[in-house]
Amino acid sequence: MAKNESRIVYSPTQKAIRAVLWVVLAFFAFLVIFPVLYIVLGSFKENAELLRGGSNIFPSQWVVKNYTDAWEQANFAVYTKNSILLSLGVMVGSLIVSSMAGYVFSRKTFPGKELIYSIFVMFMFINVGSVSLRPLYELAIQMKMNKSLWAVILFSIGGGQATYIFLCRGYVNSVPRELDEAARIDGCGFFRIYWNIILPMLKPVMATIAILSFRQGWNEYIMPMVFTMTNPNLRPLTVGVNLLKNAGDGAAAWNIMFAGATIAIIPILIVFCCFSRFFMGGLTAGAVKG
Amino acid sequence: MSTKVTYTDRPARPRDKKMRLKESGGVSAGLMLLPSIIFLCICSVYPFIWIFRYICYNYNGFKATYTGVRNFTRMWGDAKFWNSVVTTFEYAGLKLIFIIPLALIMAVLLNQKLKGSSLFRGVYFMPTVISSSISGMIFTFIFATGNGVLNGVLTSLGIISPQAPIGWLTDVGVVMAAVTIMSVWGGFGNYMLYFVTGMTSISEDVYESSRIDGANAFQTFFRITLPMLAPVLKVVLMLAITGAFKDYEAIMVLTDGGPGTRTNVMFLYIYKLIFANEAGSQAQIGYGALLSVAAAIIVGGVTIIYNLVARKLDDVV
Amino acid sequence: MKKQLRVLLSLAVCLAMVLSACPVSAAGKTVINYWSNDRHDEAYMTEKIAEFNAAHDDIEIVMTIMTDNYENSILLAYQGGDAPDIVGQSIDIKNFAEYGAIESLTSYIAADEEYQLVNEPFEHKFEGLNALGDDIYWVPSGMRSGVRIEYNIDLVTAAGCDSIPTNLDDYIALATKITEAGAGNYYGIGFTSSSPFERQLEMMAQVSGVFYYDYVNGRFDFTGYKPFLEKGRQLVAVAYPDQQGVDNMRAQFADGAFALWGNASQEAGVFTAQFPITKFEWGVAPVPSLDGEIKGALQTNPNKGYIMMSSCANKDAAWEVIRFFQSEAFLKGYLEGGYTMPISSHMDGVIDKSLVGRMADFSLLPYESVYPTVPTINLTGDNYRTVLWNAIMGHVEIDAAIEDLNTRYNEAYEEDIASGTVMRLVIPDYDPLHPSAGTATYLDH
Repeated sequence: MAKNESRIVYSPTQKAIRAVLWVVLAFFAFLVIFPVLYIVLGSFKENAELLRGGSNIFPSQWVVKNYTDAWEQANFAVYTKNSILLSLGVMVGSLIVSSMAGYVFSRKTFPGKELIYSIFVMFMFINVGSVSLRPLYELAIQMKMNKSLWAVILFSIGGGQATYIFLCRGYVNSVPRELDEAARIDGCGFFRIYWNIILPMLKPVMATIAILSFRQGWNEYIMPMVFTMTNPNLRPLTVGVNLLKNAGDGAAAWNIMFAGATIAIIPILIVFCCFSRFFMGGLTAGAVKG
Repeated sequence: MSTKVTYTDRPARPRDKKMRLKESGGVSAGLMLLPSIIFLCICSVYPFIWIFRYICYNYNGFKATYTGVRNFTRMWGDAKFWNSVVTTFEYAGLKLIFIIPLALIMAVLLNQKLKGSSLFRGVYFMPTVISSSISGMIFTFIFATGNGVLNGVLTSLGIISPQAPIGWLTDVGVVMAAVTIMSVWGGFGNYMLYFVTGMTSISEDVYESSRIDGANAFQTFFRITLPMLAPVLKVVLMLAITGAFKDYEAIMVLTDGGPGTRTNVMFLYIYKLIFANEAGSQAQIGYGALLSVAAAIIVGGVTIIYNLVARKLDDVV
Repeated sequence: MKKQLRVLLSLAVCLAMVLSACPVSAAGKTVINYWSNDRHDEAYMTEKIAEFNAAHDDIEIVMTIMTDNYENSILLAYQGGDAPDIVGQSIDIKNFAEYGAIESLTSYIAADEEYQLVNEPFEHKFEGLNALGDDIYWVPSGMRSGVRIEYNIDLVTAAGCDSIPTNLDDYIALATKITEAGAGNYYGIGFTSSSPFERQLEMMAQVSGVFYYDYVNGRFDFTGYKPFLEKGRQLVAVAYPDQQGVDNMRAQFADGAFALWGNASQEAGVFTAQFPITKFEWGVAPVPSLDGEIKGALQTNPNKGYIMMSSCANKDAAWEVIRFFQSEAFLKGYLEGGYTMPISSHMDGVIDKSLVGRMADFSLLPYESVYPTVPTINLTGDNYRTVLWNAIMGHVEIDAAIEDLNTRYNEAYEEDIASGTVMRLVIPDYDPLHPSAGTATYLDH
């Protein structure tokens, strides 16, 4: 993979400026990370201490039991697996669907194309929000899909695809048409051009879509909650955490909720730490080729 | 809805259109488009049509009663709804004013390839992977007036006096600031990512030559980075606008629309109508459906206006 | 890139295989699914259910705790043909019954003398709440008391009071005095952001004979709340300067941050087990009324009832489970555990009161009762609790708030009656001190 190897020699002033910039970035990074620290440290507090609040974000004594409680009470091992499956499903589906559609919309001329595309774009903005849950659930019942994560994955892909198609089409537009022509002369069909030429060029935008759609699947809450009502074994983490809330008598165990939330946050952070380099690498490579 | 929203639409193709149609690939193009069309019909068009069934009804999930134009007259006289529309615009405006410049500045700084840039990039992106219900929960603790950590820090820095803590979530005057801080925190990494993607596609040579020309950092930013980023910026703005108008989950957890109705955005109001979580209330799906249509029209209108403005700017530049 | 895509595709295939492998529970038992929205009693319920399952080779109880969107979830599950067999009670039975989703228990109850003895179902029949006409849909195992004032005895004594005043003016004076003495370190009273009106002032209005529904004339009337809003403003002026979630405020109270807190009998468990108060003595007192005189009943909430869904495949087994949940042995442990307060006089006599702990402080007052369920209307805009609290907080004017509520509630009510969505509830012989004693009639005009 090509790297930017340009070695630039900085003057002392430039060095000073860069040091200041670095401090700014670091301070800002601290601000950004603080709420996350707060929840992680809070998850080790006693419930009463957590709810009392105060400026001391470190627990007076570290309560690890919150985690064992969360893990047992909330069946988090299963939830984590479900969250991963759900997010991967949404990601893979979104990548396939949106890259193909973006390619067709960019390269193919056919009657009604503008109309269809404008319907897509329209629904990117027309968001009826939570109302759409009910018809989708009814539909899932009719298709006998209301008891699996499949419906959630599919509806999630459908809900997010407009934005991703929009991004893909824009990106394919920026790929020179001469490449298609050359491939066509070599005897490639429409799909082969997509597979051999366009898809490799789409890496940067595919990386972005992968991040966004994985996250979308990971954070999907209300839909999986409804679809997994009767089957606790299919619940993702978001649903699991929220089910720790207390609607009945007595106080809620916020410390356990914090622990659950931490369990929900940590894996996805690890995924991003590991893969962001890969995604970003893809971005740079794409940029060099573009 | 305009279709000229993409940033690199090309002028009319050189070849004869009829010729192109006859070219091979029609079938495979159709097949490749099919999945997204099916998804579109099921997940977007169908629910949209479904809600039209109920806009003239009282529907609580059990029983639908026809009420004629009652829902329309209700909407007309629903001060809370129109108030929530104003609040939505206010919230979206505030969020955009802060989130876009911040995302851009951070992307530019990261592009300086300082030590640890990739770590910072990961950190900045981190909040966006946290689900909005969880981030709302964290910020209720941070923003608490008497015992919140933010006021605690401000007090110890001497910025505010302990006798007059800031009522982040209880003071009508500052709650919007609290909501904005939370949403900027939760979203700017997203747009930063788009900018970073866009910037990596600006060739290093361009920077090199501007440096040779003796341009300083600001000149480089305004003469090179910004113009080269314009197409990305346009897309990001549009995504940010629609995103800001759709936010409600985190606000629901943080303020529940309060104090009073100060932060009650329209999709929060609609959500509450449809899910009826308050005791003694019932789901008002019919009325909620009508308000959803109204909200969709409002957001659609904003997008159209934005596109018109963006295109005008194109013509000027 | 191609390689990566192939990896992704094969991942997708794996996904498909994992997801389609549905878990199948194969036991020769009839499974009875029970949904609860209580988490505080989870340990007890789980233990008892395990005992039941071990002792029965024909029935297996599976409990699921659902706390978010409880009623919607039940409805959606029912419409999806996937409803549980038994659900915990806090749902609007009128809608569910008319929809045919829930089963009347009357015939089961009538045939079961032991159940009648333990639970006294015909005495605890509340129109619209657990019964419609002769059909009983759930029978309460216990009840949550009406709202009480929990107070910090140390702070109240220091302010020169040995008990909580019975009239509102003295109550405000007490709160003011404590706040002044606290000088920013502690306060007289605390309010939460979660339904704050309900937790004190609405109940003070109730015992002063003010209720938002005029049962005699069958209309909504908020006029009587005016003095309470004015006094409420005085209370808020001296209150703890922040209104947070219930649990946060509970933790603050337990920490001694303010002296007066209003909530019902669930606080007995909260302040002994969850946030044990060790720094000071705390007491429980009835809510004050406007002038010290009791002119209306204080609302209590019967709870822990079980509803059978009509979609239940094996109704006899489901009834068997409900009988178990409401058997003397089960309830004795439940009530003695302090999870709720006894409602039937039989159980009241059976339990060992020395075991209920601070729950004893919340025992029934002579003027506590259940109010007939007010018809649910399609209201536009904020509900009365929100608006009245906004008036107290000064976000809207008091007179404007009351007029707005009177208009909006009655307009919606009349429209709903006209369109046939609801019926008008009228109780001509309504007595505010005995609200559920009257004869309820439903009119379609």
